[in-house]
Amino acid sequence: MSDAAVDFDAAHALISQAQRGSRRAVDRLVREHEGWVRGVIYATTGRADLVDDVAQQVWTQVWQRLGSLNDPRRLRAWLYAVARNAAIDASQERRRRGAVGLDFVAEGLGDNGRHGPVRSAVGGELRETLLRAVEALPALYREPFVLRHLEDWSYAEIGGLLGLSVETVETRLVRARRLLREMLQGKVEP
Amino acid sequence: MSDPTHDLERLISRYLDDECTPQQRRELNAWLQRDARAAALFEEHAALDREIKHVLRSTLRRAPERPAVLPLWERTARVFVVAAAACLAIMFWFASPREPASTGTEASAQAGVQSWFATPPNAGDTLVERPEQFNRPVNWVGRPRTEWIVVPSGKPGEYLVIEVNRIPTRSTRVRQDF
Repeated sequence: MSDAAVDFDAAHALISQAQRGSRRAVDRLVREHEGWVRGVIYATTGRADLVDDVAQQVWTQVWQRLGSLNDPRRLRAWLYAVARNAAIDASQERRRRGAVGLDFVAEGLGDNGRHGPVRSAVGGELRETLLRAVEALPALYREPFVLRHLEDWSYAEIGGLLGLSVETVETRLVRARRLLREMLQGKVEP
Repeated sequence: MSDPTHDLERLISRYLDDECTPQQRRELNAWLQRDARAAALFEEHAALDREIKHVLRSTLRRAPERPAVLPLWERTARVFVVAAAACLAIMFWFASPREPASTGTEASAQAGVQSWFATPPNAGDTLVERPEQFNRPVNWVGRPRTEWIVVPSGKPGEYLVIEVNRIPTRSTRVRQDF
């Protein structure tokens, strides 16, 4: 039996157990997928401070609706849809309440968010500057960029999740890097 | 004709993402060796990538949580620790000297308070004296964990009730009604 078949059987068994209400199986499911789910939430909202709350909502929804997942092979796609929808809802809710969002992020980056950061990146500020730069990326580029850097996923894996070809993923990553380099010119020592 | 900078950026990006073929790796290596600007661009991208990866991971990844189900050895160890603590507590209980509870009358007398029910200092922690010292009829109501000592006061209808909770706290409480 191939590795892929073994993986699929294991995943199928895990999901079946989770659907039957096994707490241990759900815990394992969360541990296996939490990293990239958090990455999707961050990439969609562009807000690191929303990630914890939205992730909690996502796993609550997963717990409630896991029974509706018929094909375990579609688990990633299904989780992605749940996470992305929850992240979009949270962003809209935050916007309705008038909280600061990406505009605030862009302000910190200069005239239109495309130029170099106003503040000098020193110590902890470097972290803030880098985060703001990533958050200022168009969501189109941010999503593959975050998945690649957070989880070390291959282009094929990223494309599989986002429904993109490998070439498109590659192009978006090249453009994301180019934009980040423009935004952060001289802020990170080679 | 393709843009050389774009080609270089694509190669660098592929290299940083570990997606280069051996041929592309050789091509990039040759490029960086012959072109100092290309090498500087590579260094810049590599440093940015490294820093951003570190920041994203430290920001977005949660600290690893303890597994919901502990391993067998840890569960067993915990049972042993709890059992050992319980044994020590029981040994200490039996080894400690048993002093009869006191009514707090000494403290009350020192304070010049006449009533049985005046709150003695450190009420609740005060040990009760032997009932014989009161020189009054004393009724005992006892259960395995709790004993009540009922002492009639000098005034009619007034009693001193001493509740002794032996096992959990060894403390005493005084109630007027019973």
